[in-house]
Amino acid sequence: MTRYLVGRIFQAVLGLVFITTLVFFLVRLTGDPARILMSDFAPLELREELAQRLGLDRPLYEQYLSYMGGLFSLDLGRSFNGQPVIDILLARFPATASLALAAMFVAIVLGLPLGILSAVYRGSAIDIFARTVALFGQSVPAFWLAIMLVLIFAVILRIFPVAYSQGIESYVLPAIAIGWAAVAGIARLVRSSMLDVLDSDYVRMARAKGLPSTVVVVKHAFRSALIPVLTFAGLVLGSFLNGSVVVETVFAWPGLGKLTLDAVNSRDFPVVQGAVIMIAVFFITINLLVDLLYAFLDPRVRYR
Amino acid sequence: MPRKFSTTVVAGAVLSLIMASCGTQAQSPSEGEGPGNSGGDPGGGPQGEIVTIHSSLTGQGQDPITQAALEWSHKPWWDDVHDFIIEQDPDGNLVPALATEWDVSEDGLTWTFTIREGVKFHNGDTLDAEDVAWSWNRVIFDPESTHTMIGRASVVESITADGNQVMVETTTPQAAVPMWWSEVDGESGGAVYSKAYFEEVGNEMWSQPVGTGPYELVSMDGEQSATLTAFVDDDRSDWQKDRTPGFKDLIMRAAPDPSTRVALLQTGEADVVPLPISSVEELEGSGVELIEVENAAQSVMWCLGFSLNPDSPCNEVGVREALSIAIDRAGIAESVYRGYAAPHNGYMAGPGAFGNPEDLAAPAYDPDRAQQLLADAGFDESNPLSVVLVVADVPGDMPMMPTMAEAIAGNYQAIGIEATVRIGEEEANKEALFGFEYNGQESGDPSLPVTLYMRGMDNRFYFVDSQVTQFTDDSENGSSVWNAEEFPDMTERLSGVAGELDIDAQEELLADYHRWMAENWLQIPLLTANAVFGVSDAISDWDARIAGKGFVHNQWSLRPAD
Repeated sequence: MTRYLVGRIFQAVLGLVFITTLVFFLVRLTGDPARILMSDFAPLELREELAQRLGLDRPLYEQYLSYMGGLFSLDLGRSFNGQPVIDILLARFPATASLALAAMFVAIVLGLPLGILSAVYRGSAIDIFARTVALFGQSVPAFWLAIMLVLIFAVILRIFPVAYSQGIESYVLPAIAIGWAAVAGIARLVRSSMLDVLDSDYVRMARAKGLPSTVVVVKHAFRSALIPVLTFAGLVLGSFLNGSVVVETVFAWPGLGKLTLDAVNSRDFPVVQGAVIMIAVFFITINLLVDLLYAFLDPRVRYR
Repeated sequence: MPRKFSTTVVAGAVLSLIMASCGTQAQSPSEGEGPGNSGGDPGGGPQGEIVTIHSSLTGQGQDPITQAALEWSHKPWWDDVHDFIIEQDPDGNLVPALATEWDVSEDGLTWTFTIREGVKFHNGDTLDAEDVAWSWNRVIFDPESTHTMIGRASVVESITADGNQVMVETTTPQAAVPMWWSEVDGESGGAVYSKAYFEEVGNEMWSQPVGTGPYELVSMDGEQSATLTAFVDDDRSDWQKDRTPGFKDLIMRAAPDPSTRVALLQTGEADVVPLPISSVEELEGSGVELIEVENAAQSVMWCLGFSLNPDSPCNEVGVREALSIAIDRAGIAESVYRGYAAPHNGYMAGPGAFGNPEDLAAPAYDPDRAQQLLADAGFDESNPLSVVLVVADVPGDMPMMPTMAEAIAGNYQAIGIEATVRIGEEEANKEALFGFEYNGQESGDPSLPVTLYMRGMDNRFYFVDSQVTQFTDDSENGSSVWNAEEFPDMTERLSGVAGELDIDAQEELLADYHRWMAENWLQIPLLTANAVFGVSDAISDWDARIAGKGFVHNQWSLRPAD
């Protein structure tokens, strides 16, 4: 297990270095920040002066080494607007993290029961309903769902606020908008896993022994069916933590997604790099944790 | 029926702005023309709370000298907290603000500004000339500054304070010096901050700013919201008292998505909301009151790089004219912009702006003549002219540009031009524009399509510096559009404008330059668009101004309903 753990952590660090390097060089292909920060009518010498003040006139390898050196001390540099990138990211992270958890809550609370009921009552009206919900969730774009939720529940029914992070009720609509697609994914995955497990020998044995149906489903079938769902849920949480640009825009939510988009548009390289690294850290860490949990739950993994 | 706030800038009033000429001293407008006369203290003092919505509230907590592109993104809240030396009144006239008067020396090298006395900062300190000189020096000369104003360092010799006056010495005569520090030019590095407060609290100042404006900042919530309260200190100057806000508390919130803004207005969660033109129609008749600011944005189109390539079809003046008169501007204004736009006559400066010749009509739609001109140039069905319209959709600039591009392409196709539209991301387009990537003609291959670059922008009051820089620059900046060597007239005319210290003469020279541009079809003016705001019934009046562009601005002048 220790060897497995060390190997996975080494892979994670390697992946992070690769992503950081890739992002560093790719963002520099997207345009000249000095031209964007200055008016397009600014003379060439003024843009050169700004580039020098921002350190963009140095050779690329020098900029890269300096940036990578800073990362070791958690220094992500400064935004072109002067603020430390780490401060900007940390200011946005709570909004994104809390919304991600709320969306995950929606996905699990709705997705798991739908998947279980759909599998247990295969072919029934419940199954059809659950599959319809799943299809709807996977086929409806988040931006449309977000706008419809606002229109119905905020403008017409006046149950929830239109936008902004201002109290528990403000989480409901954006969490549904973000989490709905995951509801569909989880429900479908739970359904197919449950169907596999429900057809397995040990479940048939449990039923033959006369165990109540609820015990068979929840204690024996569901626990085994949960393993593939765990991987999926980990990836979903990772994507939620990236922040959803569309949903954050519609609900004026001050999260990482909108920040990253704005930084890309303004070619604020340090913020783009910092945001991508932060997202990569989330993904890699969650994947690592899921893998470790997977190994814990399924002994075949750690002995492989 | 929407109310219309006409914001036509009265050109004559500009005469009193920087009255200057070689050998004569300039005079600033007389006292009493200030914006305070437009609103004033309602009597009972500010009352109640108002919520205004903005597409973004960036720049909060940031040192202004590190905000290279801060001009408009931060203005929604910055301008109500801080003051400038010159402002615009509701009619568009430039009027004294923190400076009561200003003049220029006979040699044109020294501008002297007299600073208003008795103006109080929000912390009770009194503003003086030293604050002004410190603020201006910092934005230009501080080594940490990345503000656009650092470009002035090459011509500014010194900025010093003496008594209640500030002197700006330049190495060459600079007609636009007062505009550098005004609220309206778009390079608003000129806001005045408290030197003593900065020395006391350092960079904390930018998250807890202290200004002289009608509102003082109470708190900021990231870039999501800001809460301000009316500055009502009894010791403030009469000038400040004249600018007392109508509402006691002002809550500013960011909502980047237009549909969210409409919903906030409909649910009563907001009182003033900038609206996309596409939403206006559905709100008409819904009880929501609309305020329209005319000519807030403008759009133009350039035939790129033709002067660099002798084989470019755009070297034929007839082709340039055909590309302009083939566009049904009025039709597009009505169909695409639902009447919230109008044909444009301007060349960089929009209607009402400084130097825009009001007598110059927008190019008339004449597809038959356009077709004939193209035939004269050798383009017909067997040899059609091929063009690519390069366009971006930029929030805050001219709205709905890609849709307009499609409509123009339709006009072109109707007379046999092979027209396609390339919609790109703005900055990528600019990179390609200035990097010559779109200038197919440059390669000398006549079969490559003509590139028409569409550009939307706010309708700035005073664009002289920018025009001079762009169109007389023979480096890669300017020559993407016109090459200065090929158009010596252009360089000569714009240099003449820039060097003219007499503001009246300067405006006439600029108008002449625009007429010359029109005669030679050197640019294709398109449309101007109005900014539309939805307001709740809590508002009775508001001085929406052309300098405010498309965002909610000048919030102190919002007046409560009875």
